[in-house]
Amino acid sequence: MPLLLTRLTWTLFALSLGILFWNPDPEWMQGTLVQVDGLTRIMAVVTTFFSGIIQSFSRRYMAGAKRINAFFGRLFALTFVVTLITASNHLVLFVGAWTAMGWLLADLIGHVRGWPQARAAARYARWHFLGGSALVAIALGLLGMQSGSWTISGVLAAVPTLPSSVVAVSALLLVVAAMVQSALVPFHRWLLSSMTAPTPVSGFMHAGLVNAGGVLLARFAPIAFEFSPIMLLIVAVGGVSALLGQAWMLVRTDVKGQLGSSTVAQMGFMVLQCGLGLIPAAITHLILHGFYKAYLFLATGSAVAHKTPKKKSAAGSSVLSSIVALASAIGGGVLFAVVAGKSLTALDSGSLLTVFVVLSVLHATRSVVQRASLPSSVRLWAVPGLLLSSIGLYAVVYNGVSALLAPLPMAVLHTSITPLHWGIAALFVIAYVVTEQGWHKRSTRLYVALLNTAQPASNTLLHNRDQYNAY
Amino acid sequence: MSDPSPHSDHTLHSVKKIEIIVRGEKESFVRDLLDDSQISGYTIHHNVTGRGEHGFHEGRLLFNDRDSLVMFLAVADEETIQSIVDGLTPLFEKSSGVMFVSDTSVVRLDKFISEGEEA
Amino acid sequence: MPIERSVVSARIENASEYIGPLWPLQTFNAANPLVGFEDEPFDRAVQKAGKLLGGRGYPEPSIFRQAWERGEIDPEILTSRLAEHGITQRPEVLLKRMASDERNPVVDPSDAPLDRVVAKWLSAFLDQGQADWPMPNRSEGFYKAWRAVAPYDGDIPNVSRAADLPDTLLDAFDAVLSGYPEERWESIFVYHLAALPGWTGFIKWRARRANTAWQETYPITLADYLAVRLTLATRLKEAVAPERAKDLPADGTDRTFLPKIWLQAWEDSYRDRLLTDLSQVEASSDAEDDRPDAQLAFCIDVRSEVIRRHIEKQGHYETHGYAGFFGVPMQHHPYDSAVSVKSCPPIVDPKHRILDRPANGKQAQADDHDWWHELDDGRRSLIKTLKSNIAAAFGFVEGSGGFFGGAMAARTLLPSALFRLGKKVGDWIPGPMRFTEPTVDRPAPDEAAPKNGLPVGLTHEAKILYAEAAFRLLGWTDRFAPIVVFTGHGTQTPNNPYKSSLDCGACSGNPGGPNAKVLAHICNEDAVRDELRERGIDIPEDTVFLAGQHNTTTDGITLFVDDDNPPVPEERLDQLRQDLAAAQEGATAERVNTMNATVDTGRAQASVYETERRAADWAETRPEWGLAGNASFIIGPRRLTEDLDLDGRAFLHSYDWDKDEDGTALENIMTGPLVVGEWINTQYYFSTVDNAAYGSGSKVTHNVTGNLGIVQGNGGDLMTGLPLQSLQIDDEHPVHRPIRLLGVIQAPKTRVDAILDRHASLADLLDNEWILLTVMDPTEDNALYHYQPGRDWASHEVSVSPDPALANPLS
Repeated sequence: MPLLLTRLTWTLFALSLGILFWNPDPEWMQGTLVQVDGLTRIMAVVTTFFSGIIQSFSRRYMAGAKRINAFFGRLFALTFVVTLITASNHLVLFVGAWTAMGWLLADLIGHVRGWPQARAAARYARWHFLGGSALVAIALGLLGMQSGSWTISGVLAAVPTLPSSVVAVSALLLVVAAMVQSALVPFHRWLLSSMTAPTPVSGFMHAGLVNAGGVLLARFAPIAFEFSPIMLLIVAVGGVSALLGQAWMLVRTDVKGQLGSSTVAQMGFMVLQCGLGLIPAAITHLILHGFYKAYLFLATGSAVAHKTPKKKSAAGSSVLSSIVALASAIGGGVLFAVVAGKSLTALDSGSLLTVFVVLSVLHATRSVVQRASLPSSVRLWAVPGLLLSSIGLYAVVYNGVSALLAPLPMAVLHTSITPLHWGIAALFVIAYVVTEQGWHKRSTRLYVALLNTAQPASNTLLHNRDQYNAY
Repeated sequence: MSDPSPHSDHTLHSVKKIEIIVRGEKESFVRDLLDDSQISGYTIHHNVTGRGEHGFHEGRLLFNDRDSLVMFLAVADEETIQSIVDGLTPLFEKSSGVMFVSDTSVVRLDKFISEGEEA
Repeated sequence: MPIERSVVSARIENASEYIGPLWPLQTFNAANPLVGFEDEPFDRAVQKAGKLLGGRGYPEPSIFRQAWERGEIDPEILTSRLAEHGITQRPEVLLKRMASDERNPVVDPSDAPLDRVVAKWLSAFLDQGQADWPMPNRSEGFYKAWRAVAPYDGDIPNVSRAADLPDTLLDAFDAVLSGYPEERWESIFVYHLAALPGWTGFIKWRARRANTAWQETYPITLADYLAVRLTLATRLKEAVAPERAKDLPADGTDRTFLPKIWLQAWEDSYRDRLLTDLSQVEASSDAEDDRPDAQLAFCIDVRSEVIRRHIEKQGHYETHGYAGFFGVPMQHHPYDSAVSVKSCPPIVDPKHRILDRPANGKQAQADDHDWWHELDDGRRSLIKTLKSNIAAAFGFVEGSGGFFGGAMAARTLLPSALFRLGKKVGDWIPGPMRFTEPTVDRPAPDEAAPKNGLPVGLTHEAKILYAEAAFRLLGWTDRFAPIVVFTGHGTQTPNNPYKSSLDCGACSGNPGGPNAKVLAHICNEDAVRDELRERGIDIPEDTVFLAGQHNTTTDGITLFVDDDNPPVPEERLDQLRQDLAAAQEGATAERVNTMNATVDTGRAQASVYETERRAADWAETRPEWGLAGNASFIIGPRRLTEDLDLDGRAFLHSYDWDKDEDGTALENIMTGPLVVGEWINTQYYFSTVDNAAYGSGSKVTHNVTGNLGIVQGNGGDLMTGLPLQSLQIDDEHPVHRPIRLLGVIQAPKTRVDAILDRHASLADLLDNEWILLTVMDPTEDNALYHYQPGRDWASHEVSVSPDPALANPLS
């Protein structure tokens, strides 16, 4: 069965690729039940790819596991359900698929049935997912009843005619549901307590399933886009999670906990992109983050190295290296703005993304230039080389996604920039300076607060090893 | 008070001597105990051979530094020796080893008794 | 009266005996988790440990059932063992009874605040480089550091300022213990140490090695742990002292216990079959006059048995077994490594420091290597700083995601291609073992500044000592072939936190190649040979010693030879390499049969490819079996075993009783390698019989923590011992057979007796049945005697038919 399902998944991947490129448009693809559009096509390729990798990996990794068929069955079912979410048009189908996804995922978190802590973690996650599904159901029910249409396309078309209070409430409910699914603060704890799942499940979860929050926002973007306060709320919750998640990553000492914290942060960033009205950027982020995080999860066994306590590093940056770093950063920002179609002169929400790119390039360049042990020729070509190739690769994915999403309602909404946006940008610049200078390390109170808020649910921790069971 | 001249004073001073024999794996414990007791110094003999109530222990092994015996030799005032004895008595309830305390004399008292400036 | 510091320390020292030390993953050492109980008979010890640590002492009934169904337990032996205890039921009935005696209570996990808060702060304090922002004030020690964070920790009630907590360790103990008489302290300490045996085991390891950089910078002792835990217990209103009923350690009792009898029957069955085979083989081959083409010395490791058999088949080759650190107690500093590692057995202290330096004329290769190494280092640290940076991480993920996606697909879908690519890269960019040589000689005085207290290099006397010891212990004083290879061993496995558990146990979980290089270097020195000749070990002028390393995952053997300037004629070298490749094919073909592998047997070298795939596959949880299956430790000449297929289950230490009149060689083998064998065997035993309490559970839910250990899932106590996948082919069938180590020694019984007379602690291991022993006395026509607890011997009664698997001597 594992072999069969793995092959089937790869076949589906090939099929999705075919649909992506040839874009056939038969009748059934635009019905009341399902509607295959750009978002569906992208997500189908991405989901089947991750699923195929995870299953191929698990064929060796999970070999000999007692419930291997149940494991593969659920992985495959999840793949199907997630694709269905992106393809459903009927509201009931959507809610059903959404609920099934949560149920299956919780089940995989508790895959090790004989291990009480795994069961507790599954229960904990399941309650979150059921709550999230209820929110989605209420929101869509409300919209369906008010608009009289039970398809997503129908509802979205009717949005301008609906009472704004109904739209606002539904939008709010959907935002909260997305926050639960993407494990944003304050709903992050289910994700940080989910490491009882076998490693490949974590890989799939962090690369794929948490993204469903972003897909939900993308799918119902026209509803949220109606209200700028809600957009600002999305930006705020995304920004907070992005910042806190990265901060948690600094204090966690276990590899999977660090990766989980990082996922909270990256999901925050992705949602923030949604809040800026940049759906294609968010979808691009979700795909690239998926590659990144799935790789790191599958490689968590590599994390053992001989290390010695760090000596205080003398962060002496010469004038020249500062100039080089700054120049590259600005160059990187310009390059990014050009390839990603951001305006260089007009300040809008897209400019915020450019700020992040500038910060990344700045940091990368500084690290490379300061590394005296590297041959100088390497230091010279490394920065432009890395910069060009990575921004180039990003541009390919981004422009592809943009083209595919272009027909979607309100894929991009250039919201004007508000003090809140400036505040978020300033927050990250300040955070960057603070961590670079090490000022944060002076506050014991902050350290303890971060460590405590990043703890998994207490009954999912295995203190008494007697209680452990491998299957 | 000035230091006594090294050559002028040949009087013998009474102090206590302790000899401790333990298994090699307890060496670090005894070493810590002596270090904590403010003793000014001690001597260690590794690879000691001998018979005790648990049987014979041959030292000088090529590939085992754990099972051979270690002997400590130290001299100090009675109070310091007493604190060492206090630590070793419970140890010997569980693991094998012996200690002997005896009277002995030294010439240079300052070498063995700390002046208590830290006490 | 204030409590005495020295008394508290001594009570803690006593209490800590019950906790086995836990090595960090980098140098995972085999050790008996019940090492603190070895002063008691096995059966009592496992009862006592079970009460304290919750682990089981004997295999599960299902494991006995599997052994029974495979015919590994001889019915006659079992029946007579049972009859001794007046049990007459049929084995099947007893298997059912044992299974129904098992209870599996379903627990609902509840919060354990004391464990949780202590474990949280332990993992924060002990972190060895994983977190970018480590716990503050660590350099002041665990108690002080904890005292500083406690006021901010909402989990700790009623502490608003550090001053609300006792000032010092001693004050903390004073505050908690003053209500208890001194006799109770030890059981209080044991109770709290045993609550988190993983973490306390690691502290025990770290505190004993004050010279490790982490302990030096951030000190922690079990006293710190207990002070924090006891203080917390009072704050959280949890029990300080265990209930009287649970007051530990209570002694076990002698009992009639079915699993105990079954285990003994299983062990006897294995023993009798092995001895029958050994007795049959004897006297077959005495013709050893002509000089072999080459001699290869391997580690005593059970994995060597397989490859040795296959090498001997290839031609006129002889093999020997010696402890894989080759008798050189050294600390090794690998080329381009930040740290030195101990490269000798856990029971030996290193006495020399050996560094790898580029060999003469190899500087160009070294420069080449350095260039790429720096680049790789730069890449690594760039990724690390970017992914954890609070603002740069987001852009980084978008810029690098595509590369990670490609790498993920390649590693998952094309592991075999990656192995070949890795090999090619290794050809282009030389690895350090190819261009470095060890600093065997004492360097010039200005360089010889001892680091970590150890002198660099070896004195002339030390060289003589180690060379002579090697040949004396092996009984190898003449008949040297033109080529002699000392072959260390190491594993190859990516994405595996338990890598070092597959490396050489005699080198404390490191590859043995560097030690082999040192001994070969010594033995090639003329001055050493002259001295050896005077002592009766005559090495011919034309004998060349080489070093090599056996890759235990692929069974490939690399010879560390400078091919630009070969020390032996090229055609001889080529022949040797060809034969080693053929041996690799044979050995892997044998091994893949046990691995659930689908190998196309029609294809040439299919088994080699399969093991190479495993050596490069990041998804592989069973790259090789390590020492799984180990069951016996045979001390005797190779001719005793060379016609037998011992199934990779025997440690083989070469020894010739005839050349060891005063018994010194045997004494050193029995007190050194045999004891290490027991450590390995007990680790495999207990990890198999209780993988939760003494092992580390399934790899699929492992979470590496603090760059030092493994927790399961979200965290909690550190796991100890081996993971399930190192022991079992699947969730239910162990590959390792949990039976105790059987020592078999060919030597006069009186000699063994004399050695036991001199070594009380070794005799204890035998009397308490942690090792079983049989002596084959050559002075009595190889009569067999089984050691009996209480310094007694029983003569062997032949009772079983030979096991078909073991009886077929290879042609």
